[in-house]
Amino acid sequence: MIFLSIPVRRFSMREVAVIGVGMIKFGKYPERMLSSMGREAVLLAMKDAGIQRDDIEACYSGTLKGGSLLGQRILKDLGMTGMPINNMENACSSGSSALREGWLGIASGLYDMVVVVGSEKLSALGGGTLPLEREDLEVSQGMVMPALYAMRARRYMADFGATPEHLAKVVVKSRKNASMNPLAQFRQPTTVEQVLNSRMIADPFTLFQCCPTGDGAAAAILCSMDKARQFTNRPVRIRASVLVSGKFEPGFRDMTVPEITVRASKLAYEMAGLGPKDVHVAEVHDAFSIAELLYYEALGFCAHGEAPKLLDEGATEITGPIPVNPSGGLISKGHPVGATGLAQLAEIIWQLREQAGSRQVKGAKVGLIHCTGGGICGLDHGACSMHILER
Amino acid sequence: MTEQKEKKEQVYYPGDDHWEMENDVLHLIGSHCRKCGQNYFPAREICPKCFAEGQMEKVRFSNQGRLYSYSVVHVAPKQFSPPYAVGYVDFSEGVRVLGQLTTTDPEEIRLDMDVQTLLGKICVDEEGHEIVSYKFKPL
Repeated sequence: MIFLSIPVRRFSMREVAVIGVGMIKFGKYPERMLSSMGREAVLLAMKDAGIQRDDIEACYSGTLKGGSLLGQRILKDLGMTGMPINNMENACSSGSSALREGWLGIASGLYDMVVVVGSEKLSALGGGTLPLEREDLEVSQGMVMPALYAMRARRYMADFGATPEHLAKVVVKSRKNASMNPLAQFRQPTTVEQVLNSRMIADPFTLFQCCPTGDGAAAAILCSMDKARQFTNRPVRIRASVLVSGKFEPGFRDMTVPEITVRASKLAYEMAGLGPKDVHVAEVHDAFSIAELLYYEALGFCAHGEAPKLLDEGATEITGPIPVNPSGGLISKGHPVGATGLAQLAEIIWQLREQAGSRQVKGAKVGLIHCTGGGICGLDHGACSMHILER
Repeated sequence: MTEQKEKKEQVYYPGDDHWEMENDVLHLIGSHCRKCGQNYFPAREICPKCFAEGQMEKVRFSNQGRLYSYSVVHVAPKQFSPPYAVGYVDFSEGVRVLGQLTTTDPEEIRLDMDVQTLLGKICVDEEGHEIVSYKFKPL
């Protein structure tokens, strides 16, 4: 694991702060251009940070299916091209990978301020499951993302006695939190019965247990900590920034242990000098109901096999000791793929600044965001990016 | 011309060099690394584990494996015909392979059950070719 420790240990990296965030309400905007959604998010983040366009020295733009040169398409109508614009694709982690690269741009000393944006328009793809790479052997056999997570769920249920009700309760919590989030796609509270009675997608998952098709964008302004105070009296420090790819495994893999997240979280805690008990609020990649339970364990919030118990105890509710996905998460806030990592960041920044309204986690000082994904044969997932933030 | 027409009706995926037939039973063909001993499916030329080149030899997998997990898929890309089941099957050669099962009946499928490899239709592509590949039959 030394490869990620190297930049922290051997070189003196500068501290980086988040000084502004913005996102548009996630939903379906078939009439709207993707670049216009990204642009709105960038403008919101710039206004939140109180900066001028000339303060920004580089851009990192993430999208999965948004096409070529999206960063340039977003920024040209603001007269902001000319600077380096890095277009990033890393499946569901495209936005969080852009965040990681933006962090690196400042931490390395190359820039003082950058804009990071994630945008996606899944409604343009016509609904159904997310189109995957057809060159992939498993995809060609009929693998779809819901089925991949469903196989994890089935194995987890068999190994640890979790029930369909546990899976449904993840969604009930998600919808409840999203009902307090004006930017979420699904804000209608639901019940265990309604979740289990929605139509089957990939058993044991019913429709409500799957993140929706949607569009959206989110952005952030990152700044070196020494300059951040010029712009804001409440910079949020990035204590850890981690990006890893999945390890290739041709043989047997315990699908109840998400290896890529286990590895990323170890690195993130090490880099931050913090542990899971120090985290006050987390946004995790709950693309499907089982995912949230697996990530409770992989992020160290409970032991392996104990996620259903943690959920049953209400520990991950907004009022619990370790609130997870107060925004509603991917399942209810929505998952316009490339935007997700930066929407997670926006939520945590609002939580740490105590601007989260009725879904505010009391006294949150340390927040964690976790974004992973990409279906690829032989890997747990393609990419995983994690960040730990502190006010 | 006739040959082309026949080809259009049925296409082997990823190719019939990926298996050998013995009566109705199919054996997957993969690679064995002479240097580190790891097996792979599908076959490859460089060992991802030990990075050895030119050390791969053909290995014929047993015709039975164990079902690690599965899901019945109800929403899929349009070349597939839901519902169909996909599952991960563990072979004694130390390799896990994803494929479609021959049934979606929950009464016939259990975790950790033995399955047999055989040949069957998995989907129909945009040009109307019937795509045929390895599948798993519960025993």
